[in-house]
Amino acid sequence: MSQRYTCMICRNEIAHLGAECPYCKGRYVIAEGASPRMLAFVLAVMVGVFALTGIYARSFKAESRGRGRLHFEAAESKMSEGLYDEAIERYRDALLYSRDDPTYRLGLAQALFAARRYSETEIYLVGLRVGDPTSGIVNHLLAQLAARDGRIDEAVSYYRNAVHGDWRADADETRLRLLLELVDLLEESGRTQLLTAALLELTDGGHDDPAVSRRLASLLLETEVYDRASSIYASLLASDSKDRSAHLGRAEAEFHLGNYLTAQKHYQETQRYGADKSTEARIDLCERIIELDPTGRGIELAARFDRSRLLVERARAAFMTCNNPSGADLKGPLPPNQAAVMGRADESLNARRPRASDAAVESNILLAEEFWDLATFRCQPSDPPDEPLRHVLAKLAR
Amino acid sequence: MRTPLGILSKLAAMSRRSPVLEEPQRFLLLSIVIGIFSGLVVVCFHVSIEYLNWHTIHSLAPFSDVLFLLWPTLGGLAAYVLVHYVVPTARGGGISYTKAAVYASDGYIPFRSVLGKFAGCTLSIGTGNPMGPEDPALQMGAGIASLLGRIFHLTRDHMRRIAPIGAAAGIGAAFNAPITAVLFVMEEVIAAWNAGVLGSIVLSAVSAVVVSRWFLGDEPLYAVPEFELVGYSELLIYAAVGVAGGCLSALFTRYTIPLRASAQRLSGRRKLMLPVLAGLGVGLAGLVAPETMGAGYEVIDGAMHDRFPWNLLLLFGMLKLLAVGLCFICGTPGGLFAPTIFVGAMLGGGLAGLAQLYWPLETSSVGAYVLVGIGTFFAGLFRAPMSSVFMVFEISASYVIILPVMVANTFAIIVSRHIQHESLFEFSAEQDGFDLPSVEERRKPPLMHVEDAMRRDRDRVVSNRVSVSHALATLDKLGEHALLVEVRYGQWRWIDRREVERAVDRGRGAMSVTEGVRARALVRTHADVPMDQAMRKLAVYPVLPVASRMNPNYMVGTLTLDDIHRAFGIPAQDRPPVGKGIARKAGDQA
Repeated sequence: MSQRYTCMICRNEIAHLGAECPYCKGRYVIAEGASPRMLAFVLAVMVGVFALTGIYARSFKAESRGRGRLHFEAAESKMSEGLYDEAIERYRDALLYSRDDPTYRLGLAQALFAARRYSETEIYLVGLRVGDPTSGIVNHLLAQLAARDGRIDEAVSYYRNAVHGDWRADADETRLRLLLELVDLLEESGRTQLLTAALLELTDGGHDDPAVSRRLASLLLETEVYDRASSIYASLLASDSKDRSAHLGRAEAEFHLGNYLTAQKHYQETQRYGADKSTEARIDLCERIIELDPTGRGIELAARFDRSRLLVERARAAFMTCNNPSGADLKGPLPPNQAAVMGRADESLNARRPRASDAAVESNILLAEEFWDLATFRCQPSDPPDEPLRHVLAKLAR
Repeated sequence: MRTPLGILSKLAAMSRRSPVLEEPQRFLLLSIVIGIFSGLVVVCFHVSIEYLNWHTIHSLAPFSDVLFLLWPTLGGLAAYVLVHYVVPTARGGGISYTKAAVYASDGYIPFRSVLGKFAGCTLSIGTGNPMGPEDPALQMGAGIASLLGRIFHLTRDHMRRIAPIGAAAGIGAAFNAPITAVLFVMEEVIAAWNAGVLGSIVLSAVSAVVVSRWFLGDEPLYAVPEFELVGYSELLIYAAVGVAGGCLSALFTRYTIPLRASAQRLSGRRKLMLPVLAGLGVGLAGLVAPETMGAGYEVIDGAMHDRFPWNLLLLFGMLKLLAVGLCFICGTPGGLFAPTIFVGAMLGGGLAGLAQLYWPLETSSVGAYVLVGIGTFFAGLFRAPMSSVFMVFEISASYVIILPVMVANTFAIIVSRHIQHESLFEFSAEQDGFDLPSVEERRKPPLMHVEDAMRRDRDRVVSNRVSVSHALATLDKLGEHALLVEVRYGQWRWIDRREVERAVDRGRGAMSVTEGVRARALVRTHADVPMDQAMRKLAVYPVLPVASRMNPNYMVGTLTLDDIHRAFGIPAQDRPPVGKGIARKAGDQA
């Protein structure tokens, strides 16, 4: 930048500094612009001051950190003794010296949480989460706060972040614990779909704690994920074949999956290690279902045929019971589609010499299903269901 | 292949050819340099205060009562001696000195005042005196800016503008809040919305804050609780907080200013008793409540999170007010920015505690009131409504808070002004020996506009078809020396009375005015044009048509020097003869 001199009064250019202005005769003249040398000098000073400030601030921060560390250690000690209020004060002192230290802020947040000062805890946690969104502990604490306030969706989101977040030690165990906490939360709040997802994630996680497996299998049963429940119970039984609750759980899972033979076997095992009436009833039910089921393994064609006819008969009986408890002739008032089904049933059941064949078995099963559909459509909830028939037809439908 | 030396010489040649930066661009660049320098100095200032704090009052564990009394006394005395006897330019309020630089000394602030302020306030605040580092930082920034302005040989106009730029940088770095810094300087130092300097102020404030955060970290001063307005009825409580803040600030001004004046009149060694007295007072207050010592940011943070009961908050606030008042009266170096925030916050928190006990409806947490209270005492004392609102907004980063803060601060300012019309800074500047324009004076529009003086009728306009005799009759009737002739729609010329008279004398009275007299071209003006611009035109033309901006061919009025005299209230007999000299000059030019 070249140096230029300007009159302050009339703004005309002047020859040199201090010269009289030839236009207005003024002497108030200043120099405009700075010499490159001066510019370089100012920049050099700036760099120098920057460096000196850096050194000064660095030594300040080092001492500050040292002082903060002393308070932090005192705070940790108070925290381990359960003296949360004192720990909070020490954490605050530590933060006075190192305001931007996330460890101190986290310590303070944990102490505040322990002292049940939830609103202040959340302020620190939110700030910490901005700095480190993947922190497991921060997300976990936020999840607990959200759950406490009934913000379930937010809590689930934080729990998920915590599960997939960073954990310094015992990461797998912590994640398992968090998932179980999440499962508890979802169970309490009745979020079934989310609960199922969490349970499946837990199943996939792989763990060897029998208590956890038992709880998990039980929840899977409750959420109707029977195949996973059955496999967990199977693994429990593999390690302890005399586990009554595992037998019962397996039996229930297999029962719902339609494997009545397996279910009956495990009910019987359950009964062996501790008899009770409900299990006995379950065994009896399984027996009746197996006797009715025309698709069981190892049954001859004639037997299958007979069972299929029996199915049709019982389905028609159920239909008639639901439509007309007095037992009057139903053909008249029936709609055409129902009348047709009824006609085919009569034809099948009243045949003089019925011939057993796979096609006939299939036809009967279809007929029974049609009757069952009509019956369940017409039946009142108070009508007594034919439970074995219901299970067999449900299995066939699957 | 080129050698490094060759590349360097090439670059040097390129730089010689590159266009030299214009003054405005240089000014903007200089603003950044000022911001960086101010930021660096404020970082050193902050670190020095902290160091001293650690090695004085914070090194006493367990606290020793005697030393607790001794440190503020010794620190205050040393600082007082330094700024009153070694570097006298560093005493007094930073804001007053910066204003003086803008209005009285062409931007000149001696650099030794920066050094004096640095050392004096470090000694004072670092030993537990309850003053704030923001105002000293403001003066240091202004001093640095002034030095750089002198080094770079800025024009007088730019030199006047440079002090507020440094001031914004200083306060921005100290308070870690650039928006508040910009608004505070615009409101309190410049007291006008000057677009020409706003960009530079913003640049310097932001640069300073960036530098400060670079070295000291960017964690906020307070962990602010989430603000929630429970119900609109709560605004009444916020208004009460504002009223209380306004009353306190007015009473603070009313009682400290005369006592400060008396203290300043003390002579010789008696004056040295003042900082001793202030230090002992601060020490005593610190013995009762150590929270009142120093700037007290962490106490405000604690108050936001219900760490103290309401009666303790009120006690802190009152003790701090007394201690700060004592320091202010006795001339202990340090600023009032942080203490006002502290007192307001404690007041808000205390009243919130009372409201929770006695208010029949649901109220927000104490933290919300602490946050809103921050700006009330500040608004009442500094009379800076915008910065007081945006300060809380910048701290809380909540939109919801705006309404309660506006309510509280507006009440604070109204009540404070009602009780005590002049602000603290007007008095203190006067006591420091400056006769600065008040905020009100500076806020008044500096100029009259054409619309304030123009005649809104068309009496001075004649058609081009009227006769010369008719034109002379009109001139006689109006007592004017010139008339406008509308030669075509939207085109006006002017005629001189002497030429009209001469034409009548020569027997051209029956001719049309454009044929009998020479009608001269002129320029037009507009109603919103500042008066000084119009007067420059009137130096050449005796009468100006005032055209509409919506339709330039439509005349909304006329303007003569006589109109301007009338607008300024100059009596007719005192007015210079209108028209003759001007008409001649204009005629010569035409």
